[in-house]
Amino acid sequence: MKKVKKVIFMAVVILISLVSVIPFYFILSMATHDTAAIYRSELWGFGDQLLVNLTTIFNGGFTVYYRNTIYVAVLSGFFCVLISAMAAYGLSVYKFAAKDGIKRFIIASMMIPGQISLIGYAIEMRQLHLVNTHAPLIFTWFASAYGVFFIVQYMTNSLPMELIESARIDGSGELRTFFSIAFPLIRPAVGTLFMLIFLWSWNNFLMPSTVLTENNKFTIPLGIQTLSTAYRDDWGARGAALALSVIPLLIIFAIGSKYFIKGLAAGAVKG
Amino acid sequence: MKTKRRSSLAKWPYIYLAPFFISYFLFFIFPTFYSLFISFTDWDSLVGEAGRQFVGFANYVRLFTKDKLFFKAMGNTFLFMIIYIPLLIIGGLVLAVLLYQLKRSSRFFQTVNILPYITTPVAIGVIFATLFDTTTGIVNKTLALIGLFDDPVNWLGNPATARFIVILMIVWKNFGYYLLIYLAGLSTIPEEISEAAKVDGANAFQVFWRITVPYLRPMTVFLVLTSIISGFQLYDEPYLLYSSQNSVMGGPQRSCMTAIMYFYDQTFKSSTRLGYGAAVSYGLFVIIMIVSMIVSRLIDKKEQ
Repeated sequence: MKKVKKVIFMAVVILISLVSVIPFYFILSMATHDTAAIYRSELWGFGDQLLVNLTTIFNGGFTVYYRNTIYVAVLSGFFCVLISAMAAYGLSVYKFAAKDGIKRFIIASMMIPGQISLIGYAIEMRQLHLVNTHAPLIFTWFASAYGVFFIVQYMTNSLPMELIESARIDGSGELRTFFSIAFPLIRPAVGTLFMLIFLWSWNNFLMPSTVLTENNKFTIPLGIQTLSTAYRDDWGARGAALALSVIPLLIIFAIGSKYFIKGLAAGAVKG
Repeated sequence: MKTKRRSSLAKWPYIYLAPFFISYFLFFIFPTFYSLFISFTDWDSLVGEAGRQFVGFANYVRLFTKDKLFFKAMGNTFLFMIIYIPLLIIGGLVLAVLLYQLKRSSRFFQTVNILPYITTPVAIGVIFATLFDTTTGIVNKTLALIGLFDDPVNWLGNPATARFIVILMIVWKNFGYYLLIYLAGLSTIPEEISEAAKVDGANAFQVFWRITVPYLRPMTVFLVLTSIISGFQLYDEPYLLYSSQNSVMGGPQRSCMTAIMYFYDQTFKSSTRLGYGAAVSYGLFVIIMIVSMIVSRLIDKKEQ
């Protein structure tokens, strides 16, 4: 009886998981066919047009989109992690009057939807002559309430105050204590936060579409929009563009899933 | 000696917090208030600041009394949420309970099901537009193959099926996230409790309904509230569903036009009235705040 139940559970779980991945399968198979084959509905199997489609896409400027996106996502992640970790350290290690107020403020500000600042931000960036640069896409991650909240939570559990105190007694300066003692201890949280910001920055569409108009500055989401219009009739090329923009990221995150799943769950389980 | 050291530490928390608060002011507080100021003006972004005129509450009056499209967009957004949030809550909860019993393979399936959630939303729109395309889409091809429909279904061409596709897309994308949150919640339930209930003769369904569901309540509250906030921000996926066709924004009869789609269109695309666009974003913000306040009140009441 127990075994039958387990088999049924397994079947349900496998069926749902198939639904989760099957669109990716079709994207991959599309990338290997030419348009005529797609019209003939040969999508359940793979074709031999992958190289042709990839060439089309790379000639269409996909490498530039890739480079821009990686550059923006890495810098966004770096600054967000650094600024959040510093703020979290300030909130965790020191005792001062405004501390609880600041913590409450940070949690409350996580609930505010970002688009109320969008127009003001776009005008601000225009006045600073930063339109068609990548700076606005990176600045927007500098002050992340989520980032501070996440690292504060981690520090409460895994940053022993005694260690900080004894470093001070040994004559370590405040900055050195942070960078050479605290930072290594919170590495798992830093890694998780970096992955999340990298992902959110990579996927961001609304912000780049307000500040970028030049094709050679585009990030992948804007590139997908451009290519899906440009290759309206070349379905194979469209499949290749989708596959290239989605699959590498999925592989990276599947490998690192242990870390970033923790990060996604952190807000719900403790908050 | 000790007091001297304490006082030399006093400036440090502010030094560590400074980069955060300076950036927060520059890149969030200032633009937020700037948007608020702009929302009280009539300002076409094609003309410079000289063409900006103060109009008081005129934009808001027009938004809440005359703007049919805004209400259409809000209505669409509400409709989507009312359907997909319960689907995701029930689906995520049930699958999490099933998966939790398959201890060893649970992480593998969790990873597989989270893949849609991390997929670039823009790509999801194009992927679904491709899968459900009338002539080349695999869905119609497969339906014809098994002989279910002879005539290809124009999924994206009429309001009802287009809305169905949008809801399908959101459920497909977010299912793994709900699963993940519920799985994390399940691991906090002490095993003795459900064991004790089983010893007392409770069946599996009773354990689920009387122990698991109440225990996971905080996660459900979190998911409902964050889904409402993110539901009002829905944009990328439905927008890209129609990007490669020469159709009106938001699909047939604007059945899939969301609030942010309307906001973006008013501000940067079909019109360039920054003042009105800013009023749309603040109007939306007020509605989000009211709805989440009502929902959390309802939740609190039920708790007592």
